[in-house]
Amino acid sequence: MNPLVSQIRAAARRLLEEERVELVLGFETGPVPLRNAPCFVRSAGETDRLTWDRSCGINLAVFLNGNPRRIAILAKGCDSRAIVNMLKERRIVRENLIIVGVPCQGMIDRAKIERLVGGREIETVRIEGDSIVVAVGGGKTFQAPVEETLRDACRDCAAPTPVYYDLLLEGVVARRPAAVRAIHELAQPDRAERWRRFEAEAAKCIRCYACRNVCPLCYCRECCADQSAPRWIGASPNPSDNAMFLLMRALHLAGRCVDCGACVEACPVGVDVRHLFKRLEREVGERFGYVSGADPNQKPPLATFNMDDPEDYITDVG
Amino acid sequence: MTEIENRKSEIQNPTGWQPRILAFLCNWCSYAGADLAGISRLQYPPNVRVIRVPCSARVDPLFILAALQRGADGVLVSGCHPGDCHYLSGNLVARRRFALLKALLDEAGFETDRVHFSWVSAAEGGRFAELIREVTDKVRALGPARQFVKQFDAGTIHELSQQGMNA
Repeated sequence: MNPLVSQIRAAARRLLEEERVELVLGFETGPVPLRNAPCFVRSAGETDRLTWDRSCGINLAVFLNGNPRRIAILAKGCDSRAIVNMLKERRIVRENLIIVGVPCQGMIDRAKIERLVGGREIETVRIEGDSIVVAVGGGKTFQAPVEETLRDACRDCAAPTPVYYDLLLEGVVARRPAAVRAIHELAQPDRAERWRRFEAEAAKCIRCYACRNVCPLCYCRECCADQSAPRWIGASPNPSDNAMFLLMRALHLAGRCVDCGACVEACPVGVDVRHLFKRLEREVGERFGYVSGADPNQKPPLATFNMDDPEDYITDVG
Repeated sequence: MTEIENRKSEIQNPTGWQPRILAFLCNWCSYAGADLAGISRLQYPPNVRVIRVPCSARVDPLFILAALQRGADGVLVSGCHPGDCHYLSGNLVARRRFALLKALLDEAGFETDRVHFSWVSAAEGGRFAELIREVTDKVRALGPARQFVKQFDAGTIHELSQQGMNA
């Protein structure tokens, strides 16, 4: 068993027994391998439901939105960054929240495992050293280095251990941040090729809004994709409207996205436009010196300005 | 041939493609700059359709994407020079927002020369005419918009006309 599990259960039991919180947000074993389910623990007796392994990809901060209870939340690096941004945006009351930081070793990408086993039904998954061993029906097993099966967001994560927390679990060395891959700098395809790829991603979208629903920072009461007067973005999965939805979602998360990868994981048709979000992350850093989710006291970049912000993109004449 | 004659030839020869450019001009500076260009009888390409907005910060990126989706070949947003905003800081907030929009479009592979941001004061009629020339040249060089343009079906056109928007 993952050494974090006993720590998590003990911490949850203590917090509930001391009545410091009404609810502990964590994970329980899900119905299928590699897909743990969010778990809401309300009493000390239930804490044995809690588990932890490398299939806890969901960003639990999404459940804090508009929740008035006193809550303890298990937070990976990315969850804690989301919490920082939600605090800035006054989505949560700090006093009601206890952040239990969990050093994260990176979460496994189920889609990558499915590709590894060629779409066969996954029966069990175990980790042996640096390898992941996946058993499918008929006694057949597949093996791969764990690092290669992690979600792209996890592979690029610069802060897998939360930097903002009330108590931090120990005993497990968090995955050492690899040299952070700058995905937008990896063999940047030319403009026409970028558009071709983007169009192909947009064409897949079925507009189920799973990406929006799992995102802790996508909380608008009325999303611009749902407005009907005027109808900015057509409701049906038209390629152009899909492109508009994906672009607007990226733009609305500029300087706010914490790159948890939840939207990519939640997408049922495999739309991956993470590079758009990463580009905006880079622009916000270079132009405005801002890092999303790092410092609770730094003002959100689009809520402020500097007189000397760069204007290299302005069309100048004469 | 003057630009007015160009315009005449466009009307007489409707098959020849001319770029359609939508310009969002702020009420306090750029719109007045355009007005000055007109009063001064400065000539510039007749390819812009102007929408007057209270401030460049009033322009939501949705407006720009919607224009491109619905057939504009180019979009221009122009406001007061930084420091001269009628509302003190509207254009400074907008400047950050548009920097990100342009970067995002670039990342997606969109032809970014179709989208322009600039500053024109109420005293800069000449600069306005020059800007429109520059923007029109850039958009003309790209040809008719193809990326991102929505193909409307009859039902959608009806729906839009009900809302008072032309498809």
